[in-house]
Amino acid sequence: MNHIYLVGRPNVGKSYLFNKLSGEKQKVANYSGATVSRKDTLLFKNTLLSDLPGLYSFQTQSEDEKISLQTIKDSAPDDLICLVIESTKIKGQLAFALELRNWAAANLKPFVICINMIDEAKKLGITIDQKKLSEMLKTPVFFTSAKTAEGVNELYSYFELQSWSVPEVLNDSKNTNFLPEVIKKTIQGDFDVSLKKQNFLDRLFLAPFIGPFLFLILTFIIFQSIFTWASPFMDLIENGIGFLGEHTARLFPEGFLNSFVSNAIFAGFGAFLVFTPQIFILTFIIGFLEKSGYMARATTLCHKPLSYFGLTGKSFIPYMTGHACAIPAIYSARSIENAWVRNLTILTIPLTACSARLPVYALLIKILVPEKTFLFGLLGYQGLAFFLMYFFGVFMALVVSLSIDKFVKWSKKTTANMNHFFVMELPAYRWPGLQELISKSILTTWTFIKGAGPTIFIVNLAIWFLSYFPNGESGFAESYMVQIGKFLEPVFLPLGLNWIYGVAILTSFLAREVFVSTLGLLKGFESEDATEILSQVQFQDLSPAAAVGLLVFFAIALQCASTVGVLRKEAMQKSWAYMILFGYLVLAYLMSFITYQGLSLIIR
Amino acid sequence: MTLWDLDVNAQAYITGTLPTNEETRLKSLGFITEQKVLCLQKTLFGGPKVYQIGDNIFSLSKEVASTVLIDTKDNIK
Repeated sequence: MNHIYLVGRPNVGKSYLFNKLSGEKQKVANYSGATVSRKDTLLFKNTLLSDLPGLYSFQTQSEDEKISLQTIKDSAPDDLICLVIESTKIKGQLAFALELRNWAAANLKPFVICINMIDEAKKLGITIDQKKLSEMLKTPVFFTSAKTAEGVNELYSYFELQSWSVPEVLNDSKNTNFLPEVIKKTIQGDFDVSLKKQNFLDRLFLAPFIGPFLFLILTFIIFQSIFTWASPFMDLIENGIGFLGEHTARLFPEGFLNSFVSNAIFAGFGAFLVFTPQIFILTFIIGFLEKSGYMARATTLCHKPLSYFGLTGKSFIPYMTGHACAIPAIYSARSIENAWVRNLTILTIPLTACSARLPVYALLIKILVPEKTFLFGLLGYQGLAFFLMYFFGVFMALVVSLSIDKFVKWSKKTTANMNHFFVMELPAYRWPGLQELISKSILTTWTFIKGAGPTIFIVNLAIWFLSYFPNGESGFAESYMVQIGKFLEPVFLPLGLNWIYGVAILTSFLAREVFVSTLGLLKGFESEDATEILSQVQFQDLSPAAAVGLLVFFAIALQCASTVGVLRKEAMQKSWAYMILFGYLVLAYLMSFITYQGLSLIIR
Repeated sequence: MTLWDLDVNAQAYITGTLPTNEETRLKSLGFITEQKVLCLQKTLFGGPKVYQIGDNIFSLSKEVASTVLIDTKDNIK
């Protein structure tokens, strides 16, 4: 099996080109670290196309760069290395092109250069002499634009040939004047034009006071959108599911099947589906920020503040991604150069409010905060509460990071800071394609439902079974679930929670989003309409102090088996994953206890 | 004079890099002798500064920028 490796700096459009060549829908972003591990796809019979993480030089710094370099070094003699270069930044990238080309020549590896985003160079009046460049470097050179598909077929045809050439040894390349000569003879155009727009926007987004202010406004809008703007769509889904549940249950006679359909399927799985608009909107906005190039600027802005907590500006992207899902966020931390800083980032990502916490937050905020709006209905108090919960997650992540960093350094008797090296390439601003953003958001939402669906269904089934038997729906008070819940109630009473909430918390350790559906099931058995009760949980059995305590518990506890699995793989030592699982559980219980007891003294 | 000392909107030429673990890396990124560099922006609280090196733009923390030696245009040759 032959391999074709797409390699090059981050942001040169490797993933976009990979998708165009193969028809895959891999994540494409406009910041370094979007591809954190190698992605393979079968391009033709016996030929795999691989997209490698960004690589700047032979002196690698981060884990993802090491993956790229090692893959190239381990490649078979017949494998093709395709270096992808960004057309508007060709001058700065030719040094590495020459270095890699010479390495390929010395190691007898087939090598080709692909100058991507050629449409952007043309727009700016930059001309590159393809033939001359190929002659001077003694290497095949292709022009492509993954965006307009220009030149993609030619590159594909070259890949299809499979009779790829090994570059000759270039003796002239050792001369320091060689590269400037190549640039002078093959590239013409005013490169400053392409940077003027970028510089103008950077002066705004990175300005000492306006930059951080715009950053905070943007963050606030993101969290407002998750709650306030998603509401009409959530209502639509909620009403639709309610209508379907009601009419489907009528098809069955009262008893086992009727209870199963209305309580196990619609009240459980349906209650989770209602939150998909929020997940979609969050993914859409994060995708927009990534593809526009703003994420790299936010990383720069955050470096100094994050460095006070033992982190680096590059921890920002994993933290931001963590608000969608902790698993890709943990992988994206591979772009952080220092192993200890990367470890700190990975360990604290689970404290950022991932989308699995959305249903729990949404439910509790709905019962705690009035549904009032301000600023002509654009902003709402519930959205503000949501923002505060996300802020609390980040705050806890920073506090925990600082504590671990200080404790480990104290135990090792060192004061050395390991987050000094910060170099971030700021890519050109680009307007993201709407269609691409929408399809990516749909895909992420669908993947989330597909991934969480089976777990929720099985947990709901088990809960329904334990709640229905041994005496059926009318004998709920004697059910196995009530017996288990009441047995465990003393553990949850100090948090102001009765056995129903205790059982919902226990089941949510498989996946957080199960909490709401479990609550729906348990409360549904006490009423005729589970969805109605779920949306109108009042303070009959949950005081405001206990509800806030519960929010705090969910903000801290690590209730995701998949995240623990990934942590085991990615953390410096496997034991860190278990320490974090146990540590966050204890911290969540203690913080929830303090919150409930403290607020109970104030709120009566 | 180091890159960190360069004022916003001022330009200079790189004269060398201090021998650190990151020296080779910086050279691969384009921080090479005689390369023109322009300081575009500084950020709040002494955070990374933004520099244009050739056709690329980078943000560099103080610890990194202080290892790049520069000279103003007038002093070159």
